[in-house]
Amino acid sequence: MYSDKKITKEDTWRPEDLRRHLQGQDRKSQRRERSKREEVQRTHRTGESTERTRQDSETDVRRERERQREKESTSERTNLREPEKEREEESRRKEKREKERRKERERVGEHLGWERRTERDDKETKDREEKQIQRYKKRDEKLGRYKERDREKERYRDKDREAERDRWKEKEREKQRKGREKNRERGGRKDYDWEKEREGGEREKERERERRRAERGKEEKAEKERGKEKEGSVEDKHREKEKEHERERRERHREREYSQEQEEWRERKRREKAGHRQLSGPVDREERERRKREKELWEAEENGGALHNAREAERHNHHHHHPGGEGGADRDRTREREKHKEKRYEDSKSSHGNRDQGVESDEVGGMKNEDYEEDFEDYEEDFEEVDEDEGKEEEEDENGESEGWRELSAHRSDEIKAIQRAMEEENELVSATLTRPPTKEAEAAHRDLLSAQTERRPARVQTHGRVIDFTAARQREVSQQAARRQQKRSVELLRLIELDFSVTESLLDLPPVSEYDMYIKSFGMSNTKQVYVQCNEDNTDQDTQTEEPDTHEKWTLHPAETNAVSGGPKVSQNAQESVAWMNGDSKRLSTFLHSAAQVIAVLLEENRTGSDSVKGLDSHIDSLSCSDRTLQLNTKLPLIHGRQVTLLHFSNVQVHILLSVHAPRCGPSEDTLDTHTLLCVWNIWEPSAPQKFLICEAEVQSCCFSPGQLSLVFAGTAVGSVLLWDLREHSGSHMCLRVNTEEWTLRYPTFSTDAVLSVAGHLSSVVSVEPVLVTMEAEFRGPLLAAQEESLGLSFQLGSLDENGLLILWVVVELPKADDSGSQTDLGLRPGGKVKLLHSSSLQTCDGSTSRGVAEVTEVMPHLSLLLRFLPSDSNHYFIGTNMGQVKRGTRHGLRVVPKLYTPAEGMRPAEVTALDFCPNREPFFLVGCSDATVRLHSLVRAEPMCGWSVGSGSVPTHTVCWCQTRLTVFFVLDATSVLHVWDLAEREDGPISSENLHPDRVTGMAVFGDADNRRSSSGFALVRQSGRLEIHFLKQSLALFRTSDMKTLRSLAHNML
Amino acid sequence: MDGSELRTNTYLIRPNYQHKFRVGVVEKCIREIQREQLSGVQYVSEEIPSLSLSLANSIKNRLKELGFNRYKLVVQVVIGEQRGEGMKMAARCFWDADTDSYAKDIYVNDSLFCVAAAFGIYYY
Repeated sequence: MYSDKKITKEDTWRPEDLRRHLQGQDRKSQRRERSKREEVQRTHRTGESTERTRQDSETDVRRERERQREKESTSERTNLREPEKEREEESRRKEKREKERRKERERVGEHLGWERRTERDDKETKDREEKQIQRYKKRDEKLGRYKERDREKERYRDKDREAERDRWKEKEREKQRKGREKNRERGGRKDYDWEKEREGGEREKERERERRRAERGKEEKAEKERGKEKEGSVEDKHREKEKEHERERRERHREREYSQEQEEWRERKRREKAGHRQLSGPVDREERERRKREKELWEAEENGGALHNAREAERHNHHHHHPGGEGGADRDRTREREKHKEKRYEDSKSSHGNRDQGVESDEVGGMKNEDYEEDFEDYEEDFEEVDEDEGKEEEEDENGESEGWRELSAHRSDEIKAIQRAMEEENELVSATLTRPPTKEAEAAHRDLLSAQTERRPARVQTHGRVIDFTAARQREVSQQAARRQQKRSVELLRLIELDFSVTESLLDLPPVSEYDMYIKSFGMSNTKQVYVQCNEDNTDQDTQTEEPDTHEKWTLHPAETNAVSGGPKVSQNAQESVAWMNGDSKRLSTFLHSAAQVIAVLLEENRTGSDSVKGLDSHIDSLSCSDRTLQLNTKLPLIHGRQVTLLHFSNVQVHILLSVHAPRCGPSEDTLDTHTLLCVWNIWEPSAPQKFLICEAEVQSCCFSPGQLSLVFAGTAVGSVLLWDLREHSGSHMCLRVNTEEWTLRYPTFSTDAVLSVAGHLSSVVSVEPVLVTMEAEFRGPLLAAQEESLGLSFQLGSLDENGLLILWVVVELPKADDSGSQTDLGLRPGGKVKLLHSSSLQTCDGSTSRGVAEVTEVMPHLSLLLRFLPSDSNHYFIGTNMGQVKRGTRHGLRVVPKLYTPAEGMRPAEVTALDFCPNREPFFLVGCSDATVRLHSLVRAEPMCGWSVGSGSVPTHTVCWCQTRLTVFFVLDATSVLHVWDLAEREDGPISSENLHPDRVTGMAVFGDADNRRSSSGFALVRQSGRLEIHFLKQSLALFRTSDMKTLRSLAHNML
Repeated sequence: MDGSELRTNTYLIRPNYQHKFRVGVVEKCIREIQREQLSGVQYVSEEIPSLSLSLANSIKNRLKELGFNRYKLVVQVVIGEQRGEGMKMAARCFWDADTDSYAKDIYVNDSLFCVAAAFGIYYY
């Protein structure tokens, strides 16, 4: 049935078809199908047309249409009987109502003809409505230009058609008759009945319509070519149509159930409307009239434009007021027509403007059912033609349309229905070829539509919904096509390209701002301003406001070891110097300091006491005849004030150093110091105070300095002990006594022979201590020797003599290291002392021989040793003065010396030797003073004295005899009455050159000083008075100056004496 | 169908080099527009929708002038108020990385932040 081609074509026109299908739901679907097929077939068979087949087909067509009509409704039968009347009435009414439209009326007048009355009416109405609609659509400017053209063409066509119709009439009738007979034979009885009734105008109408259709077909090719050829083609068309109708009839039987349902429903409605009226004619008429009224309203609306809505509303109201009333179906139709109009309007818009006429034709169809349906058919055909011949000219279409109106007849609705059915099937098939989901949808839509048709046909809303459905379907179709294209495209493209997920890109990452940051952001920079920027970031500098204290690491050591007392790794330059200094010769330094200090001290003292001595001392001290200058030592110090000086001793080496022994104070005293004996070391040039204080408990009978260095002081005590002081000891290690504001260091003896050496010591009081000078010849002695002694250290012997004549020689030993904790073995050694005395040997000087001689003389008195002197030229020889006026001479090593005794000239007599003094300068002479007021000058070689003098009155014992150190012929004799006698043997041999009474203050002691070796040095003597005053007298130049003649004088004297 | 077959032969799978979506250029463009339209703008919630729309449109139009032929351009502009809250935005695309790309730029001032991203998708 269906060609493949058609299916492909369906693609293009299907949506429209669907729409049409909706429009002509009930009957038209069949018609449409038919017409389509006719057209299709016609196009196929255009060359083959023959008269016979044409006639047959025409008759067939007519028959079928009639049959359809009859089937449709009973009312239509009545319509068929009185078509002309009705039309006339309608035309009249229309004319009356529509006087305004004069042109159309004139046209009507022109075409007044009996036969074509209906046609004309149709036409007029059509034209009128066309105009109206055109006017209505004038708004659409595109369409506006077609209007006039169409009108003219229609006029033309009408004339042509009329002519053709005349020609055709008779032929057609004959053909129709024949065809009718055939139809009767083939078809059912109904067809036969209907045909009879429909004879006459109906047939003519049909014929004309057929003709028109054919003409349209021809005009498709060209307007001018109108003639037999066209007619032939038209006949062909008819033929084909008829053939199809035959087929369709059979189909219709199938489909009739469906269509009949619709028809029955419609008839039911009509019956209800008609109510008591049995005749369908009046019903139809009423309906028509009513419809006309409505149409007028409609037209008016269209004309009025603005009123349209209101009136439509009225009309709707009207319908609503008569639900189930007369015009149910008609109303539906009108409504459908309206819809058609709208749809066509849309279609025309979308496809071609020339379809407007087709739209208008609907209005005409409203006059009666047949017309109405014809209109539809016409429209459908037009549409199909348009669809089929899209490429053809618009004008042809217009012509075809306008002609089609006339040709269509109402009784072909059945056929249309059948066609519609077929189309539906086709559509379904076609849609089935499409993608599935749309097909389903379409089917569903169809089903809905069908069900709606059967069940609720009058539902207006439903019809509306259908319309929308189909547009949607069309859109879907379009979109599906597009989608298909896209799909294909994508399939092809996706083979070529590769899609992938991109990495998740972060578009924005805004971290939350903490409260602190917020605060800093808003307030952090407040009250601050940037002053400068540091460009060179690593060039930063740091500084502190406080200065770090200087620290140096140092150390000190006490006592110093290896000459270093302090030091440190980071010492300053001064400290380093000091360390370097300390590392130097400390011995030399100390020596220097020692001597320098003495010099400085002396100088200071001289400055200080210069004025005093000038003022006070010189004034107080009586200047002696032999002395030109005197000096007074300050003995008014608290420690020594009031003490009697018992002994004075000058150093042999350093003649200005004076040692004075202060006896304990007389009378009871609470102070323990008063019972002690004090020894003071003076420098006569520092007369203000003694250099050192030495202290001991016992009474000191004798004292002496060490021979070389003035570092040691020895003392022999009344209790038989020998004491030793080391003056080098530091003052800190000795007792410190604070008297008034001055501090005095009291040095206790470094070594004492007291109890320790009791066995080997003296058992009686020590009357004299004398250092043993180095045993060498006097000639060798000199400053060099002294220096050697010093350098050699303290290594000499000390002789001590007690009253019993026991001479003990001690060896002075200096310990290499002092022991602060004291010595275990040397108990006499003071802790920290370094010098001690070792018992060397003991000599009993009072031997039997001497004692026998002495005993003769002095039976009543013991023989006492009083004085000890070592021969300065040979320390091996010692001289001891005795209480018998004799001087013993002995040697330490038992050598025999001559003479052993030096006795006075008058022989032995009880006289104490109070003084013994050797001539300085190692001359072999010595002076002896005796308590019997005699002074003797002895030569070493002779026992008898060279000279003897009686001092003073001869009753005053001599106290001291001192040889002047610088002049060999001058010596001083102090007697007990404090008279100082000065002898100068060069001037006077028999007596003193001067005697000077030193009263009133008795002189208790005297000592001379002067350097025999250095003859230019000053020499003098020290006198100590009873009051404790200590005076230094410097001798006059005449007495002090060395004279070489003195030696000759002395030797001559000695020679003379011998 | 013939047409589509023909078209098959005319597929341009890769853009010409001079028409390629260049991220740098687009970013610069976006940045310029953001600076122009957002400098000194305070966040006012009523004005932001229109502002973001206009921003997106101007970016789009500017990008069109750059001649990315056959590129479909999608411009997204998000403007939010800057109040210290943390925020994260991310995009993920299903596309052909050879031809398609995107460019974005962020503008931030005291009161608002604006993220503008332009995606260029090549139409084959």
